[in-house]
Amino acid sequence: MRFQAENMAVLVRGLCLGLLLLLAAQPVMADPLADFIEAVEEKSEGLASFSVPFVQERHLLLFDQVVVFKGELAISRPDQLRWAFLEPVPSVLIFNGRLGRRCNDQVAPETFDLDADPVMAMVAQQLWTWLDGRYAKLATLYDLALKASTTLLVTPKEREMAQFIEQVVITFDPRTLRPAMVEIIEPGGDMTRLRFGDYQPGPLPAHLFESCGQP
Amino acid sequence: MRGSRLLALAALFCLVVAGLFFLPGITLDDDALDLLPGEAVQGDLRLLQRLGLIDRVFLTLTVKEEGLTAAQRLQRLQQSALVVGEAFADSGAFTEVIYRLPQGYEFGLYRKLWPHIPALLDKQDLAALAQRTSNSGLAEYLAAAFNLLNSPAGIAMKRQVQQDPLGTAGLALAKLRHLQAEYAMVVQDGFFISADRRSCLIMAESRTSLTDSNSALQVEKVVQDALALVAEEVVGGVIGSLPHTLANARAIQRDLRILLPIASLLLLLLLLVSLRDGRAFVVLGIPFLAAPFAVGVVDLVFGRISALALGFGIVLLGIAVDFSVHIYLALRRRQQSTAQVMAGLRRPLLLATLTTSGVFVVLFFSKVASHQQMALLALVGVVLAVSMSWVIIPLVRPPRHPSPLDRGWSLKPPAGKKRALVLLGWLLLMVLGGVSWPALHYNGDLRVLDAPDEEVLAQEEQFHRAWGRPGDQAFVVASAPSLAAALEKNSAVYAFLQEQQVSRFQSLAPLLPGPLTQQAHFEAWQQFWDQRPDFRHRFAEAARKQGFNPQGFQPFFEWLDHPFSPLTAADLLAGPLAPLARNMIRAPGPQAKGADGEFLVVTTVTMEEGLYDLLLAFSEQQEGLYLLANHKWRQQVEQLLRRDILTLSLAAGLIILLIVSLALRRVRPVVGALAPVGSSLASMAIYSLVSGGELNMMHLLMGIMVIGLSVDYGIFMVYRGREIASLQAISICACSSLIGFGVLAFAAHPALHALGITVLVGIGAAWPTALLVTPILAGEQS
Repeated sequence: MRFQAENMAVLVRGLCLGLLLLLAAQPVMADPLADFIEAVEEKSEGLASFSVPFVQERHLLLFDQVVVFKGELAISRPDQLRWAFLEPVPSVLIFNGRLGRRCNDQVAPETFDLDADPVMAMVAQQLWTWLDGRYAKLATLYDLALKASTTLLVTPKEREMAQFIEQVVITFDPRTLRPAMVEIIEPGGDMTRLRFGDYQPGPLPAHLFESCGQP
Repeated sequence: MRGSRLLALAALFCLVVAGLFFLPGITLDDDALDLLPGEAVQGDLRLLQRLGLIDRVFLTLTVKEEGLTAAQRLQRLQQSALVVGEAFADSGAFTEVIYRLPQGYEFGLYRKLWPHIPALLDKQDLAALAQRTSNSGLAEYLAAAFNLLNSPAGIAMKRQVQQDPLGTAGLALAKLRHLQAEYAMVVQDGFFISADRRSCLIMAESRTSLTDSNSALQVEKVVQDALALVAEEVVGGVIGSLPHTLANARAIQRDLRILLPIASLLLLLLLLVSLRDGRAFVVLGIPFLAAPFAVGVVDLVFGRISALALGFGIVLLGIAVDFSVHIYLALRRRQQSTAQVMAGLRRPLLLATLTTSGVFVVLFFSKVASHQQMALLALVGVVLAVSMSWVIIPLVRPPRHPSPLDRGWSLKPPAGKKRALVLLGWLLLMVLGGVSWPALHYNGDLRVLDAPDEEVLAQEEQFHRAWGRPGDQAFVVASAPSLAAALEKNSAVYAFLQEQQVSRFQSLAPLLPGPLTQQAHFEAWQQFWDQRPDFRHRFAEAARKQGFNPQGFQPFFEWLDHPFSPLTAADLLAGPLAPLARNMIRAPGPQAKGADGEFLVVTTVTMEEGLYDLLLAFSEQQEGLYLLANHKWRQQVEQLLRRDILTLSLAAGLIILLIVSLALRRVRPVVGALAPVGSSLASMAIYSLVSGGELNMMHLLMGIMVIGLSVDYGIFMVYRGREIASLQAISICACSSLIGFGVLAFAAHPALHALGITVLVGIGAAWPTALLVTPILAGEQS
């Protein structure tokens, strides 16, 4: 009995030591998710303004088939964003600071104030969340996970957001670490897929964020 | 004789003791209602008080220019509004604090209203919906829904599109614009932010009356403590009753701090020089022993006493000091026994007491509650004070100290050229006064007695810069024993405003119609769909054409089949708009009875040309509807007060004339006795005309006192004008009044200034008239 007790004590001490070593080693062990986000943000910081063509697929039960829109996104940090659909129904949505403008070929251009339009304020917040390139700050509202080496899984923590979005899957270009595809999965099976083309970095003309031009 | 005097003394002593005994139990009231004439006007103000419109604090937080970005400014403002709002709510000083709508209130409101929308849509909404349900309308709305779903907003709006592809909720939510006050603001993250994004508004309703300076001081402390918590770049400014009450109280304190010591010093000097007897001060204090009993009587009769009535009533009671001075000086100066002196004083004292009391009896019939109270206080007080002076002063028995002048000396009226000059001067004064009187205008607006300081005015200017000027507003109050009935009446007001095409108003009715109106709306809603039996088929066709799967709109069709579900006030008050709704709905207190026991719902209307008359006619036709408008209120108060003054002045004049005529019986003594009254009235009229031609409530109240004093001067001059004791008494009384009250003419506060100037001008004219004119006019009195 005595022998067994001594052996047990050795075993427990050994386990504790192992745990301590493991804990001590933790800070120096690599976190692939943190490293990946850091790398993506680093790349993103070097891109103050850019434009990129995109294709949007809407897979909704409400539609009788997948609806595809093509368009172009332009961003000039910190607070200018232009989301333009070119076909099949041209339309433009602009966020410029706290003000916004939307146009399509069916109704007159409309300006709005994010402070007075809660829906557009939410839309602006979502677009900036997915496209601003600052993914580390998402961790407060979303659970983040890395799938494969360049796909980020973003899952809302809060019930309010989870009512609209089940998960967002962001797939990055392995070379440029810029978003190549964003899939927004909604509760009930609906899904939106955005495929981004070649990013065109460089300064953008101011008028892009001031008027719709030809939607 | 000695026995009856002791009995009288014992009785008076009992009255004083009784007064002192009941004094601690009196209910002192600082209610602004007591200043207003008539039931209707008081009722209006009571409603305003119940609606919380008088005791509301508007606090504007403004971020100073400190080189902050727009986002930083907003963050500082919101953070400051949050701490101030929470501090206000925690303080217990306010019944309601509105500083932020709940987060996500827009979506919460949509969910709250959605089941009830069929009961909220009116005829105009159904007309708009009719267009949307036509084939072209369906194509248009479904195309818009398709584009919306494919836009970045699509994810957030998908459920709403499925539930409401025709934007029906938008028709109901458009009614929210009528909940917003006429101020230029945006609701940002639930905070009320100015159009320039530099200010944030907090509204709070005080638990205690802000027209009461003590309550105002306590609330100011709460505000200051809360403002100490705001970000350093943020400053706060308050408007409403609070700063006005405090500015007035402080202005009065400032004036009195300077003027009271001066007046006290001058009075002391006057009495020391003229009487040279320490006991005189005790004698002069005797009339004020009557005050506790008089206050007790007022409390017994009215159940309370207003602070204004208490203050002014005791001032009016000061008239009785004149009687004491006459008795004291007669006893001291005359070479007669006490009984002889008192016998000689009996008639003039009685007559003077009667005329003074007559004025107060007339004032008792005023329509203003505080005037009635002060009249009763002064009446009881003067009668008791004169009785006390009559009984007590002979017992004090001042040492005989006849003036050398008393020995056989008598004052003869001016004669010859002097007489003619005096009479001519007096007649000129009377003519000028008579000419001036009709040109005077009585300003019943109590704001003329308001003295906001520069800081208050600057805060008001800053408030209007930040939030705009909504223009003159009127309140239409629907009152009923049940909330449902009050909401129904409020709906009638809304229907009237729509009929008149009035657009600038704040009302709950569009969003929360009365239950009967909601029932009618729902019936119209059902009828609307019954008239469109093919709608579902047409909708499915249009949806397919647009690329939709019509099955996806099942939630919409389930909603159309939903049974009647009225929106109740409880629903709204439990939702995100509760802070705004509570501002417009008032439930009675648990113990409230009568009119105070009714539910109130208020609609605020910005006045347009001609609208006031229409609203007045409408509200007068409907039972339980009250129109409260500055315009109407000022006009009513002014009319009632003017009528009150004219009637009371006429009645007071007639009573004095009657008493003096009955007592003196001959024309000349009567004219002589009334000459000082004429002079004081004429002088006040001339002065008022020269200084702007306006009279206010203070002029009226002090005018009554001046008339009471002046007629006494005339009576004493008619009876005992040849005796130096009477001349000295009249002069001491006049000088003390001039010093005590006249010094207030130099006050900065308009109320104190009006009070002082009335006495200064009135007594300033009555005194020389009594000494010089009365003896000429009265001739020899047997």
